[in-house]
Amino acid sequence: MAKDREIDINIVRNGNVSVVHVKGDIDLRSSPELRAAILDLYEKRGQEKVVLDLAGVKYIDSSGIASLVEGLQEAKKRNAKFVLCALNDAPRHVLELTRLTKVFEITGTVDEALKLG
Amino acid sequence: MELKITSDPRWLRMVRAMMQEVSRQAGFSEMERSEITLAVDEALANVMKHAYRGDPNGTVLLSCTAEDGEVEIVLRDQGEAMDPKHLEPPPPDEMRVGQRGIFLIRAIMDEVQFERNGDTNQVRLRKCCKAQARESHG
Repeated sequence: MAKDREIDINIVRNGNVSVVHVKGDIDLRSSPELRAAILDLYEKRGQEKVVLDLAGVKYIDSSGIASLVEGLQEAKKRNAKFVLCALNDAPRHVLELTRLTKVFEITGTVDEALKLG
Repeated sequence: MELKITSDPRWLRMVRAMMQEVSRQAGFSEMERSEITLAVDEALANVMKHAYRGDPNGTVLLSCTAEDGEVEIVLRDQGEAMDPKHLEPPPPDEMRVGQRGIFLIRAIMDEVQFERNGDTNQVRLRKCCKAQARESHG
């Protein structure tokens, strides 16, 4: 990760499925980049499933949560899937505090997310 | 402890690291430290986003008092007055995109005060350590 950047986003596309590996803190500064990357996969790349691998994320704030909600909204609009996986304790706790753990599909690993129908 | 920073979001990471350490020194658990860090980050992001409307050149004063089992943080800025509508957000609706920051602050901290004094916004946040509260009450 570049020294002054909050996050690194690495996207692996395989047909209509993308895995977005995120590393770093998702906050007011970095969340617009993540939001744009997720929406781009649905709007411009026509992806049917986007898996967000959050194993490298130790921190997420409300602007990051808003980006995830936007991703889910976009997926639902297109009858596509949006799956979160490999959440660390702190991001999971923020989802709990904001009462969103049951709204998202959440898996332990990327493989589990890819196997979801 | 006092800190004077600009309203540039690049400072958020440093303030988070500082709050982790301050709350650790004050005896908070790992979960409480994460929560306090999140609440202060949300309050500061709120100043950057709303009071200064994204202008990174505003001034923010952050003061922090840490005692054994208690921490108090005060943020001051000279940005626009806070919109009262934003200060009492409804509980987070499942699919609503925004307005979760203030909800999180209020859910986490024991005391939250927003004030406008002259041309200054002031946010005061206070939290007591749960373990210490249990000891003192019984």
